[in-house]
Amino acid sequence: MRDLFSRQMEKLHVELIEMGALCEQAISRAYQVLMEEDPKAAEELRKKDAAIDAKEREIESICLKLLLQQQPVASDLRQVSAALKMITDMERIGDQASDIAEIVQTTHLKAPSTDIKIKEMAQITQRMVSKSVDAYVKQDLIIARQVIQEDDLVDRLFDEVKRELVERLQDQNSSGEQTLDYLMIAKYYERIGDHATNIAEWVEFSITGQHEGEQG
Amino acid sequence: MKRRIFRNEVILVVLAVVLTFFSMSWFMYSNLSEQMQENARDECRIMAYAVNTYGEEYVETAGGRTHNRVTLIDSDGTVLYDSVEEASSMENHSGRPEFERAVQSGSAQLSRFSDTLETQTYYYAIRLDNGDVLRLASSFDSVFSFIFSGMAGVILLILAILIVALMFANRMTRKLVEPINQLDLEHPMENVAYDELEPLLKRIDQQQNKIGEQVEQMKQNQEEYMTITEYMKDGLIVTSQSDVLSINRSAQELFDVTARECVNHNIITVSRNQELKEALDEALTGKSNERLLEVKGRTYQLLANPVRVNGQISGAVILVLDVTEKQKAETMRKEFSANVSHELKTPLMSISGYAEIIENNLVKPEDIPKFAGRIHSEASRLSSLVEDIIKLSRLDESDKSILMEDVELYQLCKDVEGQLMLRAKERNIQIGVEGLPVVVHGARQVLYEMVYNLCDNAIKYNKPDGKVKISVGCTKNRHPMIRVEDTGIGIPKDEQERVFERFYRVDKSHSRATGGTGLGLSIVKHGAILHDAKIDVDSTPDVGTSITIEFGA
Repeated sequence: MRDLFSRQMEKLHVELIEMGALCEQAISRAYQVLMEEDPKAAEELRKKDAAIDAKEREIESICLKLLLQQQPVASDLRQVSAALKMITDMERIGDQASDIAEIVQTTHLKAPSTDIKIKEMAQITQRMVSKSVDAYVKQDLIIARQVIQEDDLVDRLFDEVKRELVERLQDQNSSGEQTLDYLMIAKYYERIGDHATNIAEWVEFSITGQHEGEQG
Repeated sequence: MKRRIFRNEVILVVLAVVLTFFSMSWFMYSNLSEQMQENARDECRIMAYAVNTYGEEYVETAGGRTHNRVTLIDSDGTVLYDSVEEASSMENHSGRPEFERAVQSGSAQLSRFSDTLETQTYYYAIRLDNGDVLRLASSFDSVFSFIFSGMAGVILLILAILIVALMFANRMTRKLVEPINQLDLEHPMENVAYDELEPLLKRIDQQQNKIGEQVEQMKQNQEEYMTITEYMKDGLIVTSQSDVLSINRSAQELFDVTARECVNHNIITVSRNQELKEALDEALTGKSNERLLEVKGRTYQLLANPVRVNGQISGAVILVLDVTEKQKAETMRKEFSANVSHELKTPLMSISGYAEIIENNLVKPEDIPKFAGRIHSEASRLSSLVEDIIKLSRLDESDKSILMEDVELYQLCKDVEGQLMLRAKERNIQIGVEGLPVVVHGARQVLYEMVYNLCDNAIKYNKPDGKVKISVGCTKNRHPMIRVEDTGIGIPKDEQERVFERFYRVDKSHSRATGGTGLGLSIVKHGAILHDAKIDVDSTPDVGTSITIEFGA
């Protein structure tokens, strides 16, 4: 019985990492679509997003099975409940990555010029997603906290991007629609950063039993 | 063990008790009944004598005084007296066998069991002198009731024996087994508790030795494996169907994990890299495969092979090789061949172009020398290019046949200076050699080429009225060195590494204005490799370049 339980827990762990890997791949495809205007990447991204949705349902059913059949307690229970929360964040990351690609594809958006810091935002959020999955894989508090701190950086970058885009809007020569698209993309990246932070917080919760939101 | 001992013990004891009981009973009983019969016989004889002597009235007196039954029967069978019953109510006894036999032979004896077998009656009859028969009947317990009366005791005894036997079996088993349980199986021959156990212990000892040898062998194999895998430069991961079985140090470093984190866990804990997973999945379907993997800016080659045990795929072995350098060399080689064909084609095309114009009579006769001159210069460019390529390929092979001798560098530089003096003058550039004579063991021709190419470049890429200084001497470490300094256009910092590549030019236009093949510095680099020399570039754009060759560094 316990043997089955630990097998199921291991499976949950592996599936969750796989889902994290899919998220990483999705967001890096989104980056390719945005920066390199690579239509093949967009096609791959759609597949990844579908795979992420399927994984979410699979992990959900594993979690529910674990909860109903094994009634885990203490840290096991935390692991399962954290997994349940993390998959929603991961699923959102997948969705937002494909949303970014969709904006680029439908509006034939050019890669943003270097004076708009969307590229930096994209790179940092990519790193955050990677690190949050790393933190889960290694059950590492330090990495998790790094991710949580990095979110401030993304927020600051978003403010900067917003300011630059506002200036652009006032400039008569630039296309207003494009500027707004950039703002949307920046917002999506900011959201992805938030989701990565959420994942990191759930990792922290599953290790310590303390959720970031509870303090202060 | 205990149960068996107990059972055997009980069977043995109970059998012994029962047998003893029966045989003893039988023996005692037969003795006893003989005694009784004798007594009855004697009593009857005495009584008969007394009756014969004192008359039949005596029977009544005697019958009342004995516990045996006394009967006096008339010769016709009528009972005259009985000590138990009334004589008149008794039937005629003439048919009784003891009576008949007593009448015939004077006396008779007979034993009869009662209906219930509980008692046995012994009859003794004597014919008196007057023809009457005196019978004495003695009753006593039969053999069965005799045995039966002892039975209760025997059963009690057996019960007692059972209890004692149980206790005894318990103790015996414990005592027997204790030394066996406490055997030191590591050294079985040192504590032979029972001689009977010795063959077993001997076998255990042999087995122990065998196991020890095998363990030792396995340990050694394991150590060998560990030594090989831990110290190899390439990453090695061994997996089962899904989990990592072992991962060596190089692979741990490469994927930034520790063995503790991923051994016996899914391969995904090692790396979430898609290529790795795909390589493993493919290997697990039985196909060996290889693919390239990018990690932290370096290129790795993944070789995944299935492991088959009894024809079934039980896992996979993944080898990770760092092929960054190889990859780089590969691209360089490709670039080189592309460049060579391009560089060779350009002069050829112009030669053939000029020749074609002349052939078609499109050139005025007075212009022909000019065209011939162009053809000549292109042809000599081509031949110098081919010459350079030959030199380079010779250096590439690091031909053993290159003659190594002691070469004096100062004189060598002087020679180069003399050779280039004219060209320097054309551009109004001062060239000079300074320093001390130094001897280096090397190939004179190659060293000459090196210095020549360096100085040639120094003149070519100099500004008008510039200077070229050749210094010969020793470094602080007493290593021989040559330094060529110019006041030319210099090399940008990020290109200083690349100028030694073949056909590489800082000026990407491949302009022919300065001439040159683009192979000069490449020859210098390969010459330096041949002489174990180190090249040091120090250059500031628009100020000048200083290139130092340090030998034996």
